[in-house]
Amino acid sequence: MDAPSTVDDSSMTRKISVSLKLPSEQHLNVLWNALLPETKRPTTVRSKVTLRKKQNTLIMQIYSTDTSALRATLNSYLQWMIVVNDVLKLMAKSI
Amino acid sequence: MQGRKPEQVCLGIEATADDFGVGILDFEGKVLSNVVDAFVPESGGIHPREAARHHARVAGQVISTAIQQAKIQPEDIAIVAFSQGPGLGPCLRTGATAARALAAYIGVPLVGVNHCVAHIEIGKLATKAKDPVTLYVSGGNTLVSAFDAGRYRVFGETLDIAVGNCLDVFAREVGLRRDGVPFGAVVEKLGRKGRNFLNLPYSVKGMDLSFSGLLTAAITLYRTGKHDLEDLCYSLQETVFSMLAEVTERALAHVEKREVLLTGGVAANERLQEMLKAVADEHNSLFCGVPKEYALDNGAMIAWTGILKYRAGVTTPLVDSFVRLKWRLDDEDALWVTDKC
Amino acid sequence: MLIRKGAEASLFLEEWQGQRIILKRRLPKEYRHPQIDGRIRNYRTLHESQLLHQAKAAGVPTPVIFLVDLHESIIMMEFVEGKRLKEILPTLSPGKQKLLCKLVGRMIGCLHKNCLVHGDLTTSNMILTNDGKIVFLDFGLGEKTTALESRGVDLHLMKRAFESTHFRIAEKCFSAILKGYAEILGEEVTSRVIAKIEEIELRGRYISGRSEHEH
Repeated sequence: MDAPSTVDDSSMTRKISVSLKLPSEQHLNVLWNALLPETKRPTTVRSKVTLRKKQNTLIMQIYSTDTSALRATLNSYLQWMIVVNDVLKLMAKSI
Repeated sequence: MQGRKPEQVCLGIEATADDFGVGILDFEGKVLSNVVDAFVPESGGIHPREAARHHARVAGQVISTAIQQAKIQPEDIAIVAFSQGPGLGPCLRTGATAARALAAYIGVPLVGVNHCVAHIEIGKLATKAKDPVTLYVSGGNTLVSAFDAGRYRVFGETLDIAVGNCLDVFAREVGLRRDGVPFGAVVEKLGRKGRNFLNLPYSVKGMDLSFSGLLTAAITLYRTGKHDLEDLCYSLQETVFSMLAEVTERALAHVEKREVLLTGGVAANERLQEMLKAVADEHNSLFCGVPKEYALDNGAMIAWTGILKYRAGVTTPLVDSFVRLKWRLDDEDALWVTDKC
Repeated sequence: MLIRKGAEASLFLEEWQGQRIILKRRLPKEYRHPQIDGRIRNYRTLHESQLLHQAKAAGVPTPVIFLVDLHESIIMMEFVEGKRLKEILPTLSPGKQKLLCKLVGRMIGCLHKNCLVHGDLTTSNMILTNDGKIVFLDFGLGEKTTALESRGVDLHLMKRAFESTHFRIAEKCFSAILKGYAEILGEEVTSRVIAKIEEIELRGRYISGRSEHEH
């Protein structure tokens, strides 16, 4: 569908790494499930995102061909992280 | 409400365009809550990124309100359904992310739902229609559909812009103000005062429609300064709705169904309802107008379609839960539709 | 005797000077504005009778017209004996289906080559006669044009008619149609029309303002 053609990894000259320490493994898994499908279907060839788990920390790395793309992708993911966080907060309150 | 078993409730999230909606239904089809928070842009049309930011901001609150209004606990939720497409990428992704998080936290299956299918299904639930020809008209979609051999088929659709979009752009271009109501309603109100009919291009191709030439012509007529805006609104509506009525009638004559379902944001227009009712009458069919709450984008329609799919054994594994921007109505087997008459 | 009540027109089978004829009558629709109604019925009646004639000149079989009454929106024409493609196609062998679709494609090619587009290509609007000809009907939505857009829409409608009515054989049939079409219009034109069809299918349905719309 919107699968972009690939861009040579060597042109991904911008990189940013984000670490999120979460209160529990369950929180980590929820965030993982919520974000992972998005990394598999990038909307632009200008950025690539990888996710890793390390204990209760989620490590996200974004590689981009240019700084604008880096910023756009980072913004999107941060926004989703906030959504997930809101959902988790809400669940914790009501359960 | 007491005595309901936990596995009987589905929460649905709708986020294809500028509305973020959450609905909760039990498996019998009873709507327990249906909350919508609409993004209203300051100016211009839809801005996908701004709308998505709005959705991200209100998601937690809307989900929370829906759960409270439904008087359920989160652990009562047996399925989480979400609008997987078609729609605007940033909006869809925000809804999908919230849905995945919720499903993962509660530990229940996820069901991705086609937004257009959901409009038809909630319309059937709300009007008790069994097997209708559907005219779905909104700011992003214009299509005529009916169920045949396992799928909802598309018989006609727009070749350029959606009818709601046509009315919106016209309203903006001629400087109308929305004042808290949709542009369509503003045009409808003015149109009622129109007396002189002005000829505008009428473009029906087979069962497909084209609105962009007509839109340009209407704006051009306005700019000549020779015509009342009331007459223009009146003529625009009469022309556009006659086109919609004609393609619906063509589809109805073709598939020979006994019901006509009208849904989507533009379905609120009384003149359009009147025309479609006349079409239905002429072909001995029943006109089924979907009430506004369920005709506009809403979470209940996603939840209900989620239930139908789940009961037919369809769930969406995480790996398949990416959003589908151009997911066509006819690109899915409607396994849950069985009671064809 | 009324034999078919379509959305747009009613067909009556009558006797005229010892032969069976069809009266196609576009009845007024109460639901639409009288000015729109009158314009549509009048225009389509006139247009259809002209296009039926021009199609014949282009080598595409169409019914013979005996009489046109613009005031009453009536066309009196030959009754074509045969079966509608819609009913006959599913009963045929795959080989026969392919042959027939290729012939349909050639006929559409003949129309387009002669500056005509049909405007409502469906298998209900084609009749297979006993001597193996395909007669095209219902030119009320047709146009006289060579615009790539109109040709693309014309074939897109044909494709969609297959997808909604003959979904099991749609792909095969449509590719046979394109083959026949290419025989008349050549590979170069055909590939441009195919690209247009793809564009039509992928079109974004939303514009946010005038500026974007005009791009």
